Amino acid sequence: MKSFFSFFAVTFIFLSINANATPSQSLTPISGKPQAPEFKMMDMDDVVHKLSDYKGKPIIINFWATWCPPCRAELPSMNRAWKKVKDDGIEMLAVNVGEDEDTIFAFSGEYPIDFTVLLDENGKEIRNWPIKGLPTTFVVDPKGRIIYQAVGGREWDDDALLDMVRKLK
Amino acid sequence: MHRLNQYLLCSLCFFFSVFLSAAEIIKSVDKETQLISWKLIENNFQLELIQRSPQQTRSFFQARGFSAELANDIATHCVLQTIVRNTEAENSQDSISVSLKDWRFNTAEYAGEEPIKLKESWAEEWKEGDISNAARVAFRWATFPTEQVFEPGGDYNWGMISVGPKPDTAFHLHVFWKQGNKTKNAWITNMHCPADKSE
Repeated sequence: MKSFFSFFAVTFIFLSINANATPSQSLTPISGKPQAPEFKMMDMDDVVHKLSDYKGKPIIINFWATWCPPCRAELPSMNRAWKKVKDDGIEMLAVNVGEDEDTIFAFSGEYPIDFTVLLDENGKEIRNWPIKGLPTTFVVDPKGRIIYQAVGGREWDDDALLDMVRKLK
Repeated sequence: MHRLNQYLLCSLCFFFSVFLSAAEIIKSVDKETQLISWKLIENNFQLELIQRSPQQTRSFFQARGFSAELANDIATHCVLQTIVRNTEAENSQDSISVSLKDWRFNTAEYAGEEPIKLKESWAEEWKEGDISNAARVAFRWATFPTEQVFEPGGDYNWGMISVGPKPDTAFHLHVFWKQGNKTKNAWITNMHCPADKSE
């Protein structure tokens, strides 16, 4: 009887822990690997960037806004991720949706962003991407195809995620 | 005795697995703001609805280019910050999908179920209006998508929904979602739209 109760207690603890466990994070593979839409956007220094400029490298493209709480939550981890991958031939772009340079500049005082920020001020470019909410992040392979997406924030400096991107090289 | 133990163990495991997977609604109050939130958890579906005061919503939209009148119109439609999360680990096949078109509410004044006000209805009302593109973009992305799929591995989204009732009104919300191909629903009862303290 004692062993029965011990076994029961272990089972219950396991189930309880499992019910409250923090989910592991991942990226969702995109079926059919569609070609990423070409874009043309300015960065904070008024330099024009096109997606095709980055052909030959895996790119992490994050769509965000300063007022979006999960965007703010994931940005520090994106900045740490950038430090990990910038010498690996991987690009990271943060596309701000609907805000002007001054707003982003003020925001970056509190949330430093060391990788390229692009401005989609009138929300035109985001309409070409399969996005329902912010933040959404895509991983594009060196051939310009969308391979993965993440809806909502992630801890981007997690090597399990970054290894998925590194494998695309 | 051994067989009895096995039987008891199986029964208890079944009972606890059912207990752990049943829908659970947790209500809490933010100590600082006094705003109420409701959290519904069922298997890998997690929904959180947080009251937004009309003042909060009014300021948000006015700061993004809406006129005082339009910002007030949105703010007095019982806006809730909404968070949907698929908490399933990466190896599961179960996606979660939500369509706000299915969601209904009722109040004490009207016992029948009414649809919530979708972002498309707002856009239709403002079709001819003098609203800046910046304001429209902010509204589009700050509000919860009408339909969205959440894959396992960490997908979630935040956004505002406008339920409809006026400030300081009690209501019940009937929420629907799909887990894989299975449609599920739950009533979140005795919800409340915060009062408009600027009135």
